[in-house]
Amino acid sequence: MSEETLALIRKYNNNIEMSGLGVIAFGIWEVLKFFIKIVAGTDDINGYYVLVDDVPTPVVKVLVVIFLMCFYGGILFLHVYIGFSAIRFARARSNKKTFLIWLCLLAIYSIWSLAAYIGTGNIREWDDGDVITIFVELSFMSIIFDIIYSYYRIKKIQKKEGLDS
Amino acid sequence: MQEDFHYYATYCAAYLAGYTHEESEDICYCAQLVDLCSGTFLTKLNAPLSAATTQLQLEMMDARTDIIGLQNITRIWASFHFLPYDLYAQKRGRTRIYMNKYRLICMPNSDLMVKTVELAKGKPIQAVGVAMHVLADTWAHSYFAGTPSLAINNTNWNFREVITIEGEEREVPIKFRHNPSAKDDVANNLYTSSIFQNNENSVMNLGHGRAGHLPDYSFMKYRYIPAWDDYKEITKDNPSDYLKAFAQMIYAMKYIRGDISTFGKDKYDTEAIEPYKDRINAIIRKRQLIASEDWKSFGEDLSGKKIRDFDLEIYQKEYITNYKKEDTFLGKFIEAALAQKGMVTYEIYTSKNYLAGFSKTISNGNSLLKTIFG
Repeated sequence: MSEETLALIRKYNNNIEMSGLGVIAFGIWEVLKFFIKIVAGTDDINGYYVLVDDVPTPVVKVLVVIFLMCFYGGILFLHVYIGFSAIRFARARSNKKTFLIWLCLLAIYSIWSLAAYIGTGNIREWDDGDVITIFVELSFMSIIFDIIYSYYRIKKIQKKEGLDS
Repeated sequence: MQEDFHYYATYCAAYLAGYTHEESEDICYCAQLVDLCSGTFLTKLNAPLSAATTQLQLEMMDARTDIIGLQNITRIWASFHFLPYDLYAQKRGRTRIYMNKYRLICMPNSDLMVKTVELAKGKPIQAVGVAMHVLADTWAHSYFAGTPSLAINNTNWNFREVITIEGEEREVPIKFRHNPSAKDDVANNLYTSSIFQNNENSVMNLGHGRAGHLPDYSFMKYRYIPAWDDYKEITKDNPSDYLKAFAQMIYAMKYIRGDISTFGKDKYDTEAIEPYKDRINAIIRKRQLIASEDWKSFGEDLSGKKIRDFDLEIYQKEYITNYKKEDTFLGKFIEAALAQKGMVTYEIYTSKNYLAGFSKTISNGNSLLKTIFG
């Protein structure tokens, strides 16, 4: 393989590694965002449950808290798993591509989530927070697509060089 | 490079070039002094601070990194330790700011290196020492720039040492840690390098900090990816480079002495080193952090005389107490340093690169008096 081709592969691997770090950072941000909303009062944990007659309110609240912790823990775990897998792939420490499947699912979820956010609101009533949220989501999607595109380019180059395994 | 090459190896090269033992000692003293002539040293002597040829770690910690500070840093490091290879290099799709730093990348056999050697001709012996330090460092410090720049001087994390075992080349990973007080561990391939700093102009991104002391170890052959080379890998072959540096120093000093009429790039006095090639190669390739004892022993075998150890104090009293500073040993060294710095700063300035500040030549109509910078 020529040095230029090797340099190109290194470049795309570096993109995957950097974007993998970005996925981890966004995962941490998702969790932090939720806690900041609760602490700042813009989100109310009481809105996450409906009281049932024969179940005591404190029990419901505890269950809701446990559920939310599991939910956001799962989100964080997913981002960290994808991010670390991307980094390990980029550094040639692993050849597993399972993380790409989860990445594609995350991409679909992000697009759906952004579309829903834009669709349900009135654009004339958007404030700074809404605009920033959209930019953040777009940044995250660009990171996801960067990983997918870089992976695709690496495979294409390797196939061209007869090294696809 | 370190004291082993700048002092003792330079002595050996000077002696092989035809200088006497005493002259060789003066040359190698000045070559090593370039690594120690800091602002602190000059303040102690009440000497001009503009003659500084290096900056100590403590000085770097206090150094400003605004444009004035960066120009001061670049003037020193680019003039003496990272002589730029091509001040007019071209690279597509890069901004002016990037190109100003890219053009300061050091490599051997540059036009500036030729000018450095020519500048020392006809000057006191101290100028020879300064020129030899600069020449030697162009080999060791290749592929790094003498200006703080993350975009140029950063490297990737994957350094591998290339070791030849039974005729076959094998790569061994190099592990870096960021403990400046810990000694490099050659046996376990554990070395110290500077920590990643994402500020473009941080002093931590000056020179070869990201590669630690690897460029200064003559035995080390290694591969890594620098930030400036678009993901291409570089193989730095120090044993080969150090041998060339040694042979080129002999050639340069023969030119300065007048034994050779012209000096050019890619010229090495391989004839002079041929009888000693095995011994020189053995010293260069021995896996040790500092090869001073081996070079010193070689030098003493060459001349048959004892080489004094480097002592920073020996010429200071002469400079401090003498009214005519320019006639003292350190006075002549300071003149040589100012001339070198002025020349390099002028060349950088005339290439429309203001990273080393401004420069003006003063002449009396017939000849160049001096080049001033600021």
